[in-house]
Amino acid sequence: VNVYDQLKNPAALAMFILTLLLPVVIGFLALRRTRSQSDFFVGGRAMNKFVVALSAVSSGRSSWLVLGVSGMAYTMGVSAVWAIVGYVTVEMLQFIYVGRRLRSLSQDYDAITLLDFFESRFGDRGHAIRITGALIIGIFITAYVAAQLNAGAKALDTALGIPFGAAIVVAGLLIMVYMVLGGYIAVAYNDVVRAVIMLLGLVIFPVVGLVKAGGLQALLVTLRGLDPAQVDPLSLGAGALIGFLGIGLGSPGQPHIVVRYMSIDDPDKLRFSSVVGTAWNVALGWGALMIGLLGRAAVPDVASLPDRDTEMIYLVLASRYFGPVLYGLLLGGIFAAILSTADSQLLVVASTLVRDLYEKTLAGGSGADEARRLRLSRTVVVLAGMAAMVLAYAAKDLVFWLVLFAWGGLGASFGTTLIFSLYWKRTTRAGVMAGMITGTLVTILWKLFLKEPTGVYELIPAFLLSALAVMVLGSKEASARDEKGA
Amino acid sequence: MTGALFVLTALPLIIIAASLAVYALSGRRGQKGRP
Repeated sequence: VNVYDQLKNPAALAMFILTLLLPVVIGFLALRRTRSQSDFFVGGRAMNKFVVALSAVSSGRSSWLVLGVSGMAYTMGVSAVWAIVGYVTVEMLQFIYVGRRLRSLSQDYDAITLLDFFESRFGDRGHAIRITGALIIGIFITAYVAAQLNAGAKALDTALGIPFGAAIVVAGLLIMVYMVLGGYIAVAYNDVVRAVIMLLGLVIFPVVGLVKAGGLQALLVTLRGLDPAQVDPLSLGAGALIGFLGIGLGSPGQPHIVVRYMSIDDPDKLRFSSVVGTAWNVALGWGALMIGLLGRAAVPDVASLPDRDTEMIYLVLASRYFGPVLYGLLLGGIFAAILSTADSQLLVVASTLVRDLYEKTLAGGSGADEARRLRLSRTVVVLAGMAAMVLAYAAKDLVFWLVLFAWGGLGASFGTTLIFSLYWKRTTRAGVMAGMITGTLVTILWKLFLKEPTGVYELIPAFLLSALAVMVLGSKEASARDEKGA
Repeated sequence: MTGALFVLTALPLIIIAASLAVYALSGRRGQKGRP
């Protein structure tokens, strides 16, 4: 079965293409508000609390949620719920307890990237933190963008029959056009538009499914008939449960998520964003979970899925339930998830190159006038986008290898160091350096050598050891500047 | 099956309730620390 066949229907195709082109319109609208480099990379710290809430959540949820979690629920049943609970809870807290303080301090320091913040906080004139951090971001996030483009292109290839190479160019151009026009503002508002599309794909879709299945109770009875473990939330075992909850440790270290907090107009409004963001995270997460469960009841045999791939369950179920127009929109929902992550990450790569490596390190400050800096930022978005496209095409295997480490590596390198920098006054420059390097190395080494024998998700030991490294190198006296007081 | 019903229906509501609680608590503490 080619689940994409339905897309040959002109109405479905039209809806699908609409979801792809709408963001470009937003790019033109955001163009007027983009006048400085700060506008381009953090929305001039003037973003609305609602936009920040939706954007911070949507940027964090990639195709891993739509295709991965639904596939996991298909295989494991309701116990897949724990893969969602951890990050939803952590993100609820980090909106307020990481975001609010980071936003306040980044205004005092005039920081527009996470590395700007670290450098100012520890008076790091030699740029050691900035350069090390830029390398970690460069490796992990560039690979992350490339992987998103790769996934998007593969789907475009299968769906529309566009050759893979051309599909990468199409997917890349789809985000680069509006990014060059409207930078962060375009990216954030597009997250809102895409939230509407994802609402259809991950909320309305499962609700329709539940009605068709005769309600939740009936669904669970069917699943129990297939396999009692499907309806046991604790069937996964303690190790896997901790690993699933541990996914949440990755959230505070994702630069493309935390930069959202830095963009809000008033730090205190992050309290409101936390409530909206949490509701949104819950809706998306439980929606994906429900689609997997409904899919298992509707198509119990894995062998009848295309390529026996459980991650195809979203598309298989969508093509069964809906007519062409809705199907086109639901397929657009997958792209919405993929591209809303890819664009946020690409912007982080560009800000790292322009601001952290070029202006602050190589050019020794930012003397150039605002118009030139903005032009440079736009140019670098194009260059970084092209690099990601080449990487997505040429080094496919390497990209996926790196992505396996990306969420964990970023979480263990920046999550620990950011939290300590905000809350532990004895944190030092050396501690932050050690924490970043330890987090990255332990993630990679654990994944390579200790994941199999122990069964423990690499992020958990990497996060703990990174935190230990920061503490061991902590100063006896207060080191971090904290003019705000506690 | 009670467990399954709980994690699918009550748990999401508990998390949203928790976010409202955090909203309320963080406000009070935030106010106190203000100059």
